[in-house]
Amino acid sequence: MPPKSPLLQVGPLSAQREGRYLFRQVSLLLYPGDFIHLKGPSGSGKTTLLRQIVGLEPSQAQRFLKGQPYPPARLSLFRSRCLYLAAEAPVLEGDILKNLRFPFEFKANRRKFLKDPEALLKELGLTLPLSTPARSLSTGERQRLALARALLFDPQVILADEPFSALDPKSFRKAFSLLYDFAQKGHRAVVCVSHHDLPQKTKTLILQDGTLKEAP
Amino acid sequence: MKTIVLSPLDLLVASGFILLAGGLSVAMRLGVERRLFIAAARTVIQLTLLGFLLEGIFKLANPFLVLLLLFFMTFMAGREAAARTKKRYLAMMWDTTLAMGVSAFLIGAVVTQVVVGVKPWYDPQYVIPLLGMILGNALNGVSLALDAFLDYVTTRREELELFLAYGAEAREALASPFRAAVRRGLIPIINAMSVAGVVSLPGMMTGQILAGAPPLQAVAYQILVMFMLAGAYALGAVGVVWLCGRKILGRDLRLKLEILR
Repeated sequence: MPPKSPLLQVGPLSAQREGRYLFRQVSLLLYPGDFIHLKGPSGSGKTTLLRQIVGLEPSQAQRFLKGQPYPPARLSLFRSRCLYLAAEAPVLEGDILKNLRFPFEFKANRRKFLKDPEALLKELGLTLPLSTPARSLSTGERQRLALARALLFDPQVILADEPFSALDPKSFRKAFSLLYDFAQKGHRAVVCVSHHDLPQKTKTLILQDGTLKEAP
Repeated sequence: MKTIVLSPLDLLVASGFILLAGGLSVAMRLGVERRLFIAAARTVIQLTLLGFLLEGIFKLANPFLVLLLLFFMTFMAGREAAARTKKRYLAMMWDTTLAMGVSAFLIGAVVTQVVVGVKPWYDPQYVIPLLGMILGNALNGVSLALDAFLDYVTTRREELELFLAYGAEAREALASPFRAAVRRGLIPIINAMSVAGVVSLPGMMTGQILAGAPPLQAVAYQILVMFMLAGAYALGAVGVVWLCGRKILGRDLRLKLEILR
């Protein structure tokens, strides 16, 4: 079988905090079907790493998706294909539908359409009507809403920062398997920062002492 | 029409009001008497200097001197607008000065040259007070809008970064903060226009009537001034948030809150 070509290549990434390197000359390579568990001690820079990949933090990184370069001028397009899911799971004022629909109004996403969200929300255990004000959701519900939006948005890569931290075991299992299937069955890739043990993964990467290493 | 001339003795009597306010501050332990006296002293000194300056400039009637004074006024207004916001960034003063300058000169040019039709074009008796009024008000609109904008981008950072993460361009990500900021900047002039003549007698109109102008002429000028100020508020507010947006969310589409102090 010929070697698969990489889905995402980003690097080099370096970050400093108060004059000390958090990590240095790190790069990330993802293949279709990858589900990577990114671990590391608190403060090792996992969030910074993910934010640098999508350019929410400054870096000198080069970005390639399916072999195509994405220079800074095409950053919006890169972000719409390599999606960063923030740990805070912020919600907009307005109802659930608005929170699912807003990305499709951006110019970079004009070729995308919002598919019927109700089946997916139900699968995630969110059975509230779409007209429910999103600000009234609990933290766990917000996380599931954010995950649903990411999956409906259907990017090539999802970089998820602690997407399950507020979920109970039952919702965790459902949410996890949806995200895992997204990577495996969809031939996409996921990087998932989590302090929890994950039931399945194709690889574990550990960010520690300034480098990114594969766990044995 | 005759006007009553104020003598220095009249002003001495008027300063009794400041003593009264200061006395109240002491009696009620408000602790503002020092600032009150300093502000009162600044009023006397600044306005007296301005009076001499205006007398000189009116007499010389030199277009370059008039322009120089207008630029100086713009610069001072920009500095003041920048000093009023809660959060600041480096060289913010230039953004406020530029927004104010463009707004005031554009609207000032239309008002003095087209509407009033001042001859010669730099006639200081018209140009300086009108531009001063525009600047003084645009200053308010600019600092309110900028303050609202900076407040929005810092308190709702997560929301803006959510937009960016889903591929929003600068214009798309900043649409809501722009709207909120410009709306905030326009509130004072909308309020002022709504109550003009009902609750308050606008200052300029009052001045003209005291100076002996026929009331209807004073009203005509006041309407012109209100509309002119509304334009200045709007242009200034839009201009300053646009300039600030370029700094806070530059071409690299990253929210750069670290530039704020």
